[in-house]
Amino acid sequence: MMRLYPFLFVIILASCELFELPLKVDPADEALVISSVMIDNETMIVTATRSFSPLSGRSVNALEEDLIASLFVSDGRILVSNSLTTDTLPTLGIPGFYGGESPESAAGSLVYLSVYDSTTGLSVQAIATRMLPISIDTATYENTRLGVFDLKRLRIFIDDPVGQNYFALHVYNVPVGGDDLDSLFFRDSNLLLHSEVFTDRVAEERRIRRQIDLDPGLAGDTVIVVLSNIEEGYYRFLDARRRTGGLIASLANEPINAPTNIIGGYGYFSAHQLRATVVILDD
Amino acid sequence: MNRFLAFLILMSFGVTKVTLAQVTISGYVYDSFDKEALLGATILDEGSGRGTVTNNYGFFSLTLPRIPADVRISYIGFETKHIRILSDSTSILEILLVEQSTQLGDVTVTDDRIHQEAIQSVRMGSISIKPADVNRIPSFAGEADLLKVMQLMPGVTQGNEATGGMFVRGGTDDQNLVLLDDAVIYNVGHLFGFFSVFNTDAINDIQLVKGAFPARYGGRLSSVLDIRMNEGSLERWNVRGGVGLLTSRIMIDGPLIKDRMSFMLAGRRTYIDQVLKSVNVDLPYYFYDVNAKLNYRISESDRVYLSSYFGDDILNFQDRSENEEDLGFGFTLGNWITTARWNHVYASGKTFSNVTLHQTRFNYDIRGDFVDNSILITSKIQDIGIKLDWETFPRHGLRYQYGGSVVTHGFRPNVVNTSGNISELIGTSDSPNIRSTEAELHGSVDWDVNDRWRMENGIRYSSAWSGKTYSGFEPRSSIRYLISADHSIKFGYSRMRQYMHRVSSSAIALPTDLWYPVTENVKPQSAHQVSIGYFGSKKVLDITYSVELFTKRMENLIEYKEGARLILNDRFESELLRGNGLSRGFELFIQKHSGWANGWIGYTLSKTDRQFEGLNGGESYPDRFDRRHNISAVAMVDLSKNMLWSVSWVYMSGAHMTAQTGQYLMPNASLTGVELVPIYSKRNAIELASSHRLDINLIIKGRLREYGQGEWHLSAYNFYNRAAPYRVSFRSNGSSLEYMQQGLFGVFPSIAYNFRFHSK
Repeated sequence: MMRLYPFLFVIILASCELFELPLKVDPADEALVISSVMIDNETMIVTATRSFSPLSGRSVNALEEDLIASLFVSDGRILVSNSLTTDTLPTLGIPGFYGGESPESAAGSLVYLSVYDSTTGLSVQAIATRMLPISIDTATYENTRLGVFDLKRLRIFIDDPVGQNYFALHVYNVPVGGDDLDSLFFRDSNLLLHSEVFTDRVAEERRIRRQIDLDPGLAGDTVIVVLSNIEEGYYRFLDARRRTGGLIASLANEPINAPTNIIGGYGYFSAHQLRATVVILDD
Repeated sequence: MNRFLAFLILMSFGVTKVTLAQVTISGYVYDSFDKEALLGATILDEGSGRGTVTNNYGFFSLTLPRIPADVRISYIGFETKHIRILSDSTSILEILLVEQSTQLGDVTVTDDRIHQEAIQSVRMGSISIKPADVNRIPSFAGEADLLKVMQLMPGVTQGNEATGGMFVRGGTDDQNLVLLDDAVIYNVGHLFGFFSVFNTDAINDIQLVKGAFPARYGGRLSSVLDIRMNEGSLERWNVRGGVGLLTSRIMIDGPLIKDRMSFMLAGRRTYIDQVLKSVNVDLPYYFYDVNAKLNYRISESDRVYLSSYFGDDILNFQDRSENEEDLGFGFTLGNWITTARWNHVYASGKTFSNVTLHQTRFNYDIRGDFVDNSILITSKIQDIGIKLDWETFPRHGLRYQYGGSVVTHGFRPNVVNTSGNISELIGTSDSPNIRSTEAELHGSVDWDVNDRWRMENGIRYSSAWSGKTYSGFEPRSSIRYLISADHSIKFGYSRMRQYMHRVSSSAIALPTDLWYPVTENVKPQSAHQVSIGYFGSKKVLDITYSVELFTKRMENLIEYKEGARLILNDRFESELLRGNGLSRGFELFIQKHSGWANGWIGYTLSKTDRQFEGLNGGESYPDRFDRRHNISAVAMVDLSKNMLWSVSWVYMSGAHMTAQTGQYLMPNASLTGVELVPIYSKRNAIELASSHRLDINLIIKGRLREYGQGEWHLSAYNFYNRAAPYRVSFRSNGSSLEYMQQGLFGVFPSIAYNFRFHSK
């Protein structure tokens, strides 16, 4: 019988050949994709791209020129308005990126967005609530040790305003020489160290405490902690992206479509504002 | 109104009929060869036409209107026996039936019992199959598998290819109550479900109930698979076994004390690890299982049984990296059950009782080692319980069944132990030992109202405690109207409650599915099922046929939230959603029971939807295994005295999946680059290809000798090599990609030798 085993093994292997049938899956219609951010009280940046098929075979690891040309909306018309005025956001010189002053609005008022892509004729609309900017009340740090690891531990305290609130928190490292603290964004040198979204359900007596452990081997001794008070819908959008981001999550987690407030498109139009706090990690 | 209710209750309990002086006979029906109990044998008073069938222990009680009486005892595959009852003896009868010869050319004997059971029984949605038939039906890798035979029945849908998952009438796999000698089996599959844990050599009887549930069954919504182990022969020694492509198995049974005490011991193990070692390939995986049973007749009225099953799947991979670092990965996945039962027949011969003490344990360990780092993830569920059941036959045409049970569950889901540097990343988490207790009381009345009407009405009251108490009534009703001797219409209603959930991923198949009790937030699942059916028989051709329509509404089903994190998530309760399900269907079943060619054809047309507030935008969506059409055809043909050919052909509409249909770029959180965000179809909106498959099995019997017989099984799974979608992936097609459905097994030939020997 032992002599037969290799023969039987070959039978088993041969029968395990993966043979295939094609599966027809209709791709989702091409649609505009919007994201937005307010850098300070007045400046709004909106990006506009187009969705594409997962079967296109395109790699986005390197932003190839033809990919940028085909996906980024280079000749869009971006209108941002409130109940009083309407402004057109001009291109920032980078395909798909538009920015400029947004209409002055009080926190809680509505901001309207309209995007028209003259190449494809696609258009979308969205409405966002201008959010009250909230600053970090206190940010401290200490050197500590966890097991065999040395850590720099940041502690952040936020006073939670009345009502249900949602937050996004990002921590960047400014490397040595990166001393332009007013220019947080679009700099490869400002490394994102930590990113999270949370609700004020974690608050105790309307005070929120977050603890973030950082690697001690940072490139610089300065970190910037950026807090955004965001709408519930945007919180859910960011939370969905967090759940689908990364290799393990994309393979193992349940599928989820990121929620959107873009009518006829994807992404999220948010009128939240950022508040940054600089922390010097001085030993 | 109250009087009317009282009248209904009295009617239900069948006490309106004035009884005359009658004689009750009771006893057991056995196979004369080895004195194994015959379950479901018919005992019929030929004078009055009154009859009954043996229960799950082979016991019967029949009240005769007068003596002397001629009583006929019959059972499929056995010669019918006639006995004359002359006196009103209180002794318990022991009736032995002789197995029929089934050689080709013998006169075909139509078994009336099958036709009577199909037409006259009040039961519907119920299927019984003998282990001998399971062994004849073609199977994957030549391993007889009762779960895969059940998948060939109408109303039962297969999950993934070659796996034993059963999705009954739109239910989920965890809604099947699988009982082995009254103890629950939580994990019914070896090797990720490719093989069932049931060694058919050790099995005596298999019953599947998928609707119109008797009141004694509960705790799951969709089906009951009640499996009884062999008791062991009181008469002679038997050895059965087989050598197959992947496993070998052996079963020994016999008397320890003749006519009083018997035992059965069966074992099975794969040897693929040993096979691969012979070609210098290291795959240290194997599974094994052991069944054991002891049967002792204390007296004519009392007997006890002690039975146990245990089995494990074990992978233990050890290696050394190029840098001489130790690497290890493995898992152990196992069930262990033990049951002690005591049967007692009361002096009147009209009441039978059964007391069962049972324990079940299901656990898994997954471990990984890398240099000085190690991780061990364990999960365990353990039950200890007691069941009390009585069955009383006060007079002909009336049977009461009543009893209760208590079971405690102990859960330790997802305990993680880490050591080394990895413990800084994945902390050790010792989840608390969660306890829950379930209890129930039930009672039912099986009543022959008159020649045409028969009904079995029952009620069950069940409760569960696990931090919060849940309880509720579960009414059950089965009604039969006899149109004629060959035609009947039946109606069934069942309310079912389930106090445990199995939490599993729809995205990936893990051996780490968790059983979880009801809690404050996780409420019990429940279902209403209504079914109506027409049943007919054609005795001349020995054919029975049935058409059943059912609708089942399920509540408080659970699913993971969209985007739920599944791996190493010890707070998964917060990732669960509650919702509802609805399944409707039509089932056709035509079965030929005897002759040189026999078998069945089953067809199911069904639709199953789910609706969860937090999924698919709150819209209802098809269940993953909502297969619209299911066809199965099984034929067993005697080619000659020593050669039997069996074939099975199945057709299934495709399962459903959620596919990525688009994607888009978004700036990443640091605004220094972009990341891809997937766009998915609506939930389960993509239907995979339908699949069909032909399996064949040629059985060549050896010479029948005085001490036994051997037989060769030459079989081929997926004979015409048709892919059944098992997983979906992308394939490059020049500059673009396309979705491909990949099958798992092509034509899979196998050979096995089975034997059965016995002492004189």
